[in-house]
Amino acid sequence: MDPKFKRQMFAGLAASITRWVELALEWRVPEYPAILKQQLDPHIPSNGQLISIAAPLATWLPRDARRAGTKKHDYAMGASMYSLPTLLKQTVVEAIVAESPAGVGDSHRAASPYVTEAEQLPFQTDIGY
Amino acid sequence: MLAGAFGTGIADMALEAAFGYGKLERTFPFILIHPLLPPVDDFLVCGGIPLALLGLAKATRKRSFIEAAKGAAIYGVPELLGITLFRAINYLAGQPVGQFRIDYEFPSTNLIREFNIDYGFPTTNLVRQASWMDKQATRESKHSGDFLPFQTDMEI
Repeated sequence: MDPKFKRQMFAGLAASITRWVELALEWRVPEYPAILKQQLDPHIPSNGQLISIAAPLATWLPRDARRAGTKKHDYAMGASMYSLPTLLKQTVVEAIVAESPAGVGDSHRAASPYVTEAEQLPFQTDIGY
Repeated sequence: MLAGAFGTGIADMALEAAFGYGKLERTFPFILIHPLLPPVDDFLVCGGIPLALLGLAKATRKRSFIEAAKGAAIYGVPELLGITLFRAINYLAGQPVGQFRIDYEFPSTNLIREFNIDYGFPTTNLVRQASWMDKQATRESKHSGDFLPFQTDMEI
């Protein structure tokens, strides 16, 4: 297998694991910070999801990463190829779910059972849980 | 490569958005083949598109299709593995939301199957199937102000 492709795949896997483990923590750890479970707006993913999806893009920060042909560039490209479509997808899906007619997509409106009513923002109070 | 990754991501987004907007639970391809595995639509998009692009590349012998297939794989494979990991974590967390039976139909064969699935994926686009009874219980408990049925075994 092409070593460049291997590095990109590795970065994509790391980005994916970051994103899904964060989501699992968000839903399964009662002590998980409430601010990360909240959404700034119902049309965008929760703060924790935004951070975990966008964090791998920090691989572009090193100067080497911006120079084509380096290993860091491959890692940054791999992370971007997973994170950018995921960010786009998740934002559009949240927006569509938020705009869906009442009663449709109940299962999508689920808030974490660990988010108490007091922790929810006003627009979250109508979420189906 | 970016085109392949974004193409796969957009196809995935379209299916997730369709599922999120409409009541498509229990309809193909939004069905589970196993509680620990991603739903079929994710397999079709994240696994099918890279393979289809690879097939196109072999058929047409165009380098661009190979690059697109690599991009699609870099999005698709981690997504499939990530969803599997997420479902496994939820499953191993003790299924605090309980199990219930779900039946669904394959439109082609009208084959009804029942699975015990973990209704433990209360995120926006991951709950693939929900029973009518569970929804009713949710609504009732919301109005009564009590804990939801699946919360009874949690320490809050």
